[in-house]
Amino acid sequence: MSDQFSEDAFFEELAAETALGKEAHAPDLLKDQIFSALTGGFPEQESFFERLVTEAPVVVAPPQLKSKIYSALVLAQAETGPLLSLSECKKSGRDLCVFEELVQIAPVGHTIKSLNYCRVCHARALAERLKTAPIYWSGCPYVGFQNG
Amino acid sequence: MVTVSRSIETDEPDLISAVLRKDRKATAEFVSRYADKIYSYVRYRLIPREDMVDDLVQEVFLEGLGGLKDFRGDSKLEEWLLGIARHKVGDYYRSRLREPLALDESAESSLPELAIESQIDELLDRERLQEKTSLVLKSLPEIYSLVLLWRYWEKKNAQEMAAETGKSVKAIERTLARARAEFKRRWSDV
Repeated sequence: MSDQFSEDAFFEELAAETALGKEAHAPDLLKDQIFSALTGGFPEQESFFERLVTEAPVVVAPPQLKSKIYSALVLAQAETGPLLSLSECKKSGRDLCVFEELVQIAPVGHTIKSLNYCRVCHARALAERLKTAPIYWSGCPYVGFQNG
Repeated sequence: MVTVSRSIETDEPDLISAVLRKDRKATAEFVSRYADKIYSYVRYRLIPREDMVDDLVQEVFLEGLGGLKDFRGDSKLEEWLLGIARHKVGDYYRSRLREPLALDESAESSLPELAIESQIDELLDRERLQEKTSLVLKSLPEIYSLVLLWRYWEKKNAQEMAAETGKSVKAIERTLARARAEFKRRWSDV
């Protein structure tokens, strides 16, 4: 077989070996060949045709990115109408943050309880910029992102 | 001390319906649950353009949110979101490789010097393999990384790549050959 042929097969195996989200399945012989390629250059054998499919490690997304995504999603939701009121959120068993709790128990209407308070909260500003933001209260989604 | 927020782990259909009802806490769980997987995928596929990863991941979630009402549950939500990510990455490959000089030989004249630390002598496990592959792909000119990622990681053949970029099959194959050769050279050097 040509060199191009074995190179092609090598890349197919390498891609499969380093693919994400696949089930682990790696014949030992082929695995050895891949690993020997690490120190001994490219393999020239044709047996690289068989698929090696293994799980690659999932990288944890930066908390700042998660925070920005959350902010963007809630903003998008709020743009198309009121959010679910804080009282309804609480009824569904989810924790509210200390500020949301205050709004939730206040004698105000549904409209007020459905506003996007995260938008004006300093916790958002901190969490979108800092990897370890100083946010010290429970029920805040941004704290959840900080903790992975 | 940071107080950890208590969150309930919701079933996928319940989570979807809560997000559609605009439950902000469910939206947070939606992000927490899927961000790592989507981020990992996009980051690896855009190795030569790390600066674009965050924006693209955010776009995936926004598009996912917009399309959630049409999600039929035929696959897992994670797979569905990965599908959106795959399209976004494909769009980037296409647009980049469509550029007039993308596959031009002049790309070779701009090959950067090897910027790889030679600290990877004992790459003997899978994690190291992943690391070495990332390192080599990252060190390649962007076009070379993209054609290799598209061809082998996204499993597109040269004909499909040519059709989607408006280039000739020969031009794609030529670039692939150069990219493989450069990858090989750097692989041996690190």
